[in-house]
This record gives sequence, structure tokens and C-alpha cells, in this order.
Amino acid sequence: MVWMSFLYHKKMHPHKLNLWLALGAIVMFFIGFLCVYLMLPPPSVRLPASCWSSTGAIVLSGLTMHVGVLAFKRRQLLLHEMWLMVTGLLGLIFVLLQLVAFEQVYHWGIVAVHDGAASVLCVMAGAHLLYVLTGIGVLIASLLRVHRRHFILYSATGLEETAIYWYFVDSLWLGLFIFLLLA
Amino acid sequence: MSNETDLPAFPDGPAPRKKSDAPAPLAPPTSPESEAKLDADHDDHHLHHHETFVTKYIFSQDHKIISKQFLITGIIWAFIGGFFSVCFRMQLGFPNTSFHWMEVLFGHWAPGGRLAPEFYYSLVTMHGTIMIFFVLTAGVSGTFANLLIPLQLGARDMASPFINMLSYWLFFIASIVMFSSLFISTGPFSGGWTAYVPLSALQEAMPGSQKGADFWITAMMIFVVSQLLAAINYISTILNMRTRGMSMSRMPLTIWGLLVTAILGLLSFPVLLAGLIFLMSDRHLGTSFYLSEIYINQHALPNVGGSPLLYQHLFWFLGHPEVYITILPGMGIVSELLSTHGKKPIFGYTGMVLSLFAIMILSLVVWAHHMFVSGMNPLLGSGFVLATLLIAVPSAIKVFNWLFTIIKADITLTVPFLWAVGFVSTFISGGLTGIWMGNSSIDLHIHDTYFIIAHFHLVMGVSAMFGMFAGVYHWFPKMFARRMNRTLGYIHFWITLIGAYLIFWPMHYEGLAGMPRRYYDFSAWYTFSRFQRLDAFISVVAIIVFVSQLLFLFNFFYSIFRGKKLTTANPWKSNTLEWTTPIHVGHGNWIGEIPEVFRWPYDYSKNGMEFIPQNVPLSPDEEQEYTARWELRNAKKKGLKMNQSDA
Repeated sequence: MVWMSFLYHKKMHPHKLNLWLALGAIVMFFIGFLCVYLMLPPPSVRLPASCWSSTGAIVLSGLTMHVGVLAFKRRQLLLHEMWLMVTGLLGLIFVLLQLVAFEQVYHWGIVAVHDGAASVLCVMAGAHLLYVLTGIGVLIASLLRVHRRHFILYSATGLEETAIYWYFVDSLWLGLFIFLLLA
Repeated sequence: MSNETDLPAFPDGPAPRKKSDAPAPLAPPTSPESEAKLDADHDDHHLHHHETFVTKYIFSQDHKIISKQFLITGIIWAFIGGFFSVCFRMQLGFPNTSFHWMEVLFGHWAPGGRLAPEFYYSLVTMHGTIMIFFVLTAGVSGTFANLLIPLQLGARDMASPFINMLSYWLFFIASIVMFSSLFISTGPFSGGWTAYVPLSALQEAMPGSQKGADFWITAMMIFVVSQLLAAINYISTILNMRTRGMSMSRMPLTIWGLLVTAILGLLSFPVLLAGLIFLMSDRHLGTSFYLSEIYINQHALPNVGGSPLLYQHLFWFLGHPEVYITILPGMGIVSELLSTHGKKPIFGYTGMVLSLFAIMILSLVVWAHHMFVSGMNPLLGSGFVLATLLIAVPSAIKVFNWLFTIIKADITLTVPFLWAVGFVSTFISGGLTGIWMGNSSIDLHIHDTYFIIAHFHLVMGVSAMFGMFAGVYHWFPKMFARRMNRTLGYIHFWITLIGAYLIFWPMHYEGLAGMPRRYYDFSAWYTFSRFQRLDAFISVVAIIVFVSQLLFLFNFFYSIFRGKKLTTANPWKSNTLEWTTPIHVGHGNWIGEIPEVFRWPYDYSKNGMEFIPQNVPLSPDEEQEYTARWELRNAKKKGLKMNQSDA
């Protein structure tokens, strides 16, 4: 099985591989949602305006996360903590803006019994919101771990996993947003 | 220099190959005493763990304990599910007879000793759900993946033991939720294991669609999460935690089967989860994903725009891969067992692996063959016909490879071997009818008849069960360090095999005559009431087969405590790594270093040796042979390149 040799030449940390596989499962979960969205008649609403700013916030948070990880690898812990906090704050801003968007949709008076596609939209955004909240929780845990400085070993695996999850949640929303704009 | 006479005696087997040099002593010297000593050392070594009963047997993170937990939970569910089938077979076989014990057991669900129609549907639904998800998915994959992945690949435990424990306990919670639905006043869910809408989406549809459906959906959601966690762990352990020398191409086929199963589950279960979330929200939040223009008692429901077909697509996107999730671990187990007990290398290892992958990919694109009569676009249907018929190719490759493995093999008719052959038999008998119904034109006639029941029970229910039994009989000594009783095993096998055919073979004829499934009573229906005596016969056989499973139950639990103690670490003379562990495997599996692997797992009857375990280094002979082969291959490649450059 020479074609599979890439799997055993350089082994990934098993927990990281676990994470990648879980992300694959989450992607399938959202593909399920998107299929339903495409099969139902198109929704009667557009995306609320606050979605644009929330998208900006979460894309920015991906960048700050990346800078934070780089700071950790350069062993600038203070800078690292700062960037991670900025990331968390941007995440919170995203959550708030999404809630504003939900409020907007609610005000437009979408009746769930008549508009399946709009309901799918809400379910998708809601599920994604839960993933972002989980991400913020993981971010706080990872900050606390660095802050307590229990370890002097600079193992970046845990942080890298946090970062991978954050990038994923980030790009998942970006993907959904672009899909919803085009569809 | 030596000749054949120097080689060990080889009665009834294939003649040992003639070799120019004497074979090196290959098998490691093992005597019962030395193993017992190892064992004692092992116990001493682990005394300092100080595990309490709770951390050792209940919330254990040890993959071997988790595997036993999955197995025993699976067995309990199998008996509940099997018992339900006996109950509704009583109704089908003897429709106008009352059975007092049923009234005692089910109370107002069986007034006068006869099942109420609603409860008949509940039993059918529960039988399907329990058997497919709780027994043949969690029971089979959970047991054998947890037991075999670390042991056969040379790992101390799974990639993440905690997630592993979590997956079992989520399965347990799902079990509790499903089981408690049997005790609610409106009865358990009764819309079939497929839970089609609108039956499952409308609380008014039938008594079982009220609280029972909520319990069913909740249990299934928890179950999906449990299976996803498990699958993630299996895949990353297989890809990441193999011992030195265990390349992908040296993995036993059991592991390949489990890997493909896990990938399939990871891809398809999330889609069902999405579908179930929508179903729940249709039931309680007033959305219209699946509902549109429905009238109940001449009152129109407000739901507009949904599509019931949507649910069917989402369900079968899991539902079809699901049948392969149940059968693929069995295929892996059977490949391993036929080779081990036949003492002959597996025929076509690469073909086996590739066909597993082909089945996996094809099984993701055939789901709509369950929906030929649903009003789906016929053009779409013909695409699914093509994909469905294509899946016969990799399946046939596997069947022929199994048959070529046992032809002229040095067979010992052990109990696990018989179950493995039984698997091949039922897989062929059930699989061939799949080619019929894969054609949409034939399916129009036999859809939703007893023909379908016969097909899927043989090809996936009975076969997967046979794979599970084969695995349990084979790895029982590894799990509990004792043997199961052989005679009981033989009796259990023959009654089950003959019984399974007697139950499901006649159903083909009923189905071809058009007898529909999921009907409570045929006695007033002239066309099908002539099958009444056949139905009674099937029911009687079903009872006998169910009772014969008690033999297994007795054998299993009796042997755990009183079975014949194992005296050798490798009772089946198998090549795989799990038999290189001590008889009583401790936490961490191997004492000291994990063995290194030097060869593939199917070196049976080679160089005059009956078996050569994977951790035995290559003999100088083999080294020479492999080097020569390698050089020949390189030379061929080089020659090919030179030819190309000439051109």
C-alpha cells in the first residue's frame, strides 16, 4: 500500500488527528443542513446587515489567533496572552452581532411554518454559534493554563489544537456566509 | 543442507515447500510454565495501580474492559430485540390465538393475550432499532474495535482512552432512554426503524408518535454522538499508534474492516444527526422542514413548503451506509478467521482491502435505492440502480477470495471457523437477491414485501450476527482467559444456521407473491391467508432459534467463571499480535517492550511451519527471497523506463 505511505512517514499527535476527524464529522453535519436548505423553496429573507460586520469580526479573530500562536512559539508569553484575549473578545463580538441578526430576523416576522429555508438558516447559524461559544470556552481554558504557568515545557500541541479549532469555526462561518450569499 | 524430511510433520495439510536451506527456528519457544511465570510477574508489576472496583470495571478507560462492556450490553440488547421478534411472530403465526403470558407481560398492550395493533408496530420498530443500532453497530464495532485495534496493532491503549470511555457511556445513556420508552403509557415509538415522516413528525399520527417518538429521537441523537466519538478514536488509533514494523500493508484484515467501518460512520452519522434535529424541531418548534399540506380529521395543518422526501434522503444517507457499518467488521473478522483456522494465507489481501474501500465509496452513493417507489425522479433512480449493481463487484471479489482461501486449506472445524463459513453462506444467499431488488423495475413489485425482509435479514442481519458470533467464539479466550464449551458451540451453530434459512427462505416466496411487510393481520385477506400455515411454521422455527440462543448465553456466562482455563497463550495458533500478550492481559497489554512486526499476518503453512507469528523476524531464507523479489521488481521498473525513453 505504497500510496498510503504518507500516513506513516510523519505521525501526527493522536489528539490532533482526533480533532481533525471530529472537524470532518462537523463538516458532514453542516452538509446535511445545506442539503436541506437547497431542497426547500428559497427563503423569503435576505441575510441581515449585521452578518457582514460579524463576519468581519470572526475573520479578524482568526488573524489575531494566528499572531498569538506565533508569539507563543517565540516564547513571548505576555504578548501571547494579549492576542488570545483579543481573539476571545472578537469572538464575543461575533456572538453579539449574530444575536442582533437573530433579533432582526425575528422582527421581520418570519413564520416558521411557512418558510422552511429561513428556519434552516436559523438552525445553521444557531449551531455554528454553539461551536463558537465552545471555542471561546476552550480559549479561556487555554489562557488559564498558560497564565498559571504550570509547565515550563513549551509544548505547543494543546495551543495548536485550540488554534485549529478556532480557524475551523472561523472558516466554517465564512463558508456558510459565502454559500448563503450565492445560493 | 537439508531436505523435506527435516521439516515438521504436516498431516493432511499442503505439502511443505522444498527449500534449499534449512529453515531457521522461527516460532518463539513458549511453554505453559514460562507463560504462567510471565503472568505472575505481570500481576506483581501492576499491583501498585490501586484501582478501585469503580475505576477498574465501571468507569474504566482500559480498552479491553470497554470492549467487554460493549459486548455484554450488546448481548442484553440482542436478547431483548430477539424476544420482541418472537412476540410479533406469535401474532403473525397464530393471529387468532391468545397467549396468557403475553397479557401477564405486556398488560393492556396485549388485552386478552393478543397483541394490540399499535403495540405490534411498537415491537417491530423496537426490534429493528435495537438490532441494527444497539446490537450490530455498537455491539459489533464497539466490541471488536476496542478489543482488537490496540491488541492487533501493538498499542498500549486507544489514542484517547477517555473519549473511548465517554463513547461507551453515551451509548449506555442512549440505551437507558430507549429502554425507558418501553414503559410510558402511550407506548414506545411505532413508526418503523426508519421513522418516516409524517408518522414520526406528527404527535397525532398514532399513540407511539407521542412521547415514544421523543424518546426514540433523543436516544438516537445520543447514540450518534457516541458512535462519532468512537469512530474518531478508532481511526486515529489505527493511523497513528501502530507498533514498529506494522505498516498499513501488514495490518490484519480485521483492522482494515474496522477502519473502513469507522470512516463510513464518521461520514454518514452526522447527516442523520442533522436530520433528527430537524425532525425534533418539526415536532416541537412548529417548523415545516418535512411537513406540508396535511389534513387531520378534515382540519388543515398550517405547515407549508416542507418535503417528506427530504427526510427519506437524509435518513437513507445514513441508513444505507449503516447496513455496511454492521457487515464490514464481520467481513474483516471472517477473512481473519478463515485464514487462521484454515492455516492458509488469505487469498488476495490487496484485493480484499481495495474491495473494502470500493464498498465504502459505493455505499455512500446508493441510498436512494430504498426510495424507488417514493415518487422520486425516475432518471435519478436509474443512476442509483447503476451504483447499486456496481456494489456487487467488490462484494463478489470478497466472496471469491474467501472461497479460494478455504479451498485445499488445512481446515480444523473449530466453532469460530464454522460461524465464519456460515457468514459466507448467508452473505451469498442474501446478497444475490440484492441484485434483483437493485433494479428499480423489479423493486416496484417487491418493494415493502416479505422479499425485502428475507433479503436484508439474511445478508445483513444474520450474516453480521454470524460474524459477531465467530468473533466472540474466537476471541473469548483472549477476553476472559478461559475457553467456551465446544459442544454447546456446535449445537448453537447448527440450530442457528438451519433455523435462519428455515425462517427467511420461505419469506422470499411470500414476498414474490406480493405479501406486504408491516401488516398486523392477514387472516381476513384471502390472497395471503393461504400462507397462514407457512407463517405458523416460520414462527415455530423462530421460537426454536431464539431458545437455542439461550445455549449461547449460558455458555458465555458459565465459561467466564467456570470455563476450561487457558494453558497456552496462543490457543488457535494464530499469527496476530494479540496472542503474544500474556494469558491474563494487564493494563498496557504487553510486559516490557511492545513486539516489533516483521511480516504480514497470514504466513500460515509456510516453510514447513504451521504458523509464523508477525513478531518473528525473517529467516535468512526469506530475507534472500524478498531481496531477490525486490530486485526483480526494481529491474523490471528500470527496464520499463528504459523502454519508454527508447520510444
